[in-house]
Amino acid sequence: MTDQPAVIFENLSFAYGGRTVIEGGNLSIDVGEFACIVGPNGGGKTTLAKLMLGLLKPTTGSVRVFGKPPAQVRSRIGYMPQHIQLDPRFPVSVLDVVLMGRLGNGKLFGPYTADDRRAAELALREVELLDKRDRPFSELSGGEQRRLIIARAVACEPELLLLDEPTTNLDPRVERELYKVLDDLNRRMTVVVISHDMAFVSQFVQKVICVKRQIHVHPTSAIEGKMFAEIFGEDIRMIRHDRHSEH
Amino acid sequence: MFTEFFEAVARFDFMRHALLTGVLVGVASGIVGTYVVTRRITYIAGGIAHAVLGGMGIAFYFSTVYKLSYLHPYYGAVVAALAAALTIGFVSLRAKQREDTIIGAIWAIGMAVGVLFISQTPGYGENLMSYLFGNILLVSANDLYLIGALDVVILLIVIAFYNQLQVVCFDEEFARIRGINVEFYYLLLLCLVALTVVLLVTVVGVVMVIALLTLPAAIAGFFSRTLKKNMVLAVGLSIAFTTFGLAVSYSPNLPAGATIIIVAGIVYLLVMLSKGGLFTRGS
Repeated sequence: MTDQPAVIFENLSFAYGGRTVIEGGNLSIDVGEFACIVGPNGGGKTTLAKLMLGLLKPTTGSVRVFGKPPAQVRSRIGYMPQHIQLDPRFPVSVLDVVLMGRLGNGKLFGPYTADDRRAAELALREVELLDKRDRPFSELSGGEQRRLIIARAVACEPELLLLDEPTTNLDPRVERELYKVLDDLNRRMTVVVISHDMAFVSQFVQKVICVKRQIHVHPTSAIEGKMFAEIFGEDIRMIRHDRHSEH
Repeated sequence: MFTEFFEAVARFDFMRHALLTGVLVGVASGIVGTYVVTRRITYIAGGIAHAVLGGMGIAFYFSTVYKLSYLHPYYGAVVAALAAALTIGFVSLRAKQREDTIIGAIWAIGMAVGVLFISQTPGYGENLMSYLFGNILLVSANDLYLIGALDVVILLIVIAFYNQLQVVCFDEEFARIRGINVEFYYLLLLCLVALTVVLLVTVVGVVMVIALLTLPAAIAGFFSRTLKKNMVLAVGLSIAFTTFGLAVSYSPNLPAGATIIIVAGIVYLLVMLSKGGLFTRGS
């Protein structure tokens, strides 16, 4: 098979401490797709991300990323966790943080190369932070910090970008800008975003993966507000967007 | 005011040794102190510093009683510091909730072992005081070679692993996901702290190591936007404090180590107050 899906879950279950978190789940995300994982808090969204990264092992069933066990291809995934606990006073520049994305992959010591700098600057340009490259991390706003962490994930030159709740606590204008950045990045890589908020997601993504113990996959065209209300109750913010409406 | 000090520098080897020691130790402590402050492991450095007394006491006892003249107390200090660093490191990686207890235990047991061995060593016990509070005026040419060698080891390690140490200090979770061996670099960092602590014991003694390790780096933190700048500034401050402390203490015959710490402490307080870091105004 040459045309491997980016991510495939087959009949996957995951239990933690005797509690079933995911039950009998199947899903597949194609290379080049922009997918969104939605669901209520505690529904298993972050668990799904950690299974994709190989940080958790399924209780039964299997996960394959680019046709391989996830732990083997983790370096091809750019990941942004939901809770980023960083010391805001740590003395690093914006460029320093993005360059961290170039570490790993068996590079054990030594300085950054010219290639590393090029990749870091390209990533900064894509999230529109290039003009702040020499600013200290502590001076960035919340939205800028989020974009910086995305840039760092992009600097890893991943084939799959996996972002856990990238828009939490951002105001809607910043959130919208962020999704535009992701939409641009999607031309180069598969993008998977975890969100509990469908407000902006639905106009950008091609596939919605709903998680609440069970996994349901829908193409965006089939999304109906009523369907979400059935699956999640009323706690999902849902605005109907036509995919081709003007921004 | 400092004429007597400058005359002494011109005339006595021990004064020139002391100044050179301040410079060599300042390089290591400014660099490693920056990691200690930004990674917030001051308490670990304190534990390692006090454990060093155990190693020095044992080495001192055996070298005196069994006439093992090659067994310099520095060797005991290096072994004890590295052992303490690795023990604390493994505990904090494996069982996080017990970390502070273990550090406290190593801190006190190291001191106790040192005091016991020094008390059983024939002589007048003046060594205990110099280990506790520093003996920068007693540094011999031979000691300087050892200090220089440790300095070179620390510098080479930091230059080689600068980027890796930075990411492990800034964002451990990211480093782990990127396949960076976080445990290795954390233990390496603690070993660097251990070696630096041994150097600092010469200048200010076991009890005051933490101050000279962290105050220059903390002051530099107010003016630095990158780790590298923080290190360079901390090195400069550390050398300045040691030199100035030596100069101030010479004529009135004050203890050099304590004077150095007071100088560093006053500058730290002034910078804190001027930067508004200590209190925030209510208005």
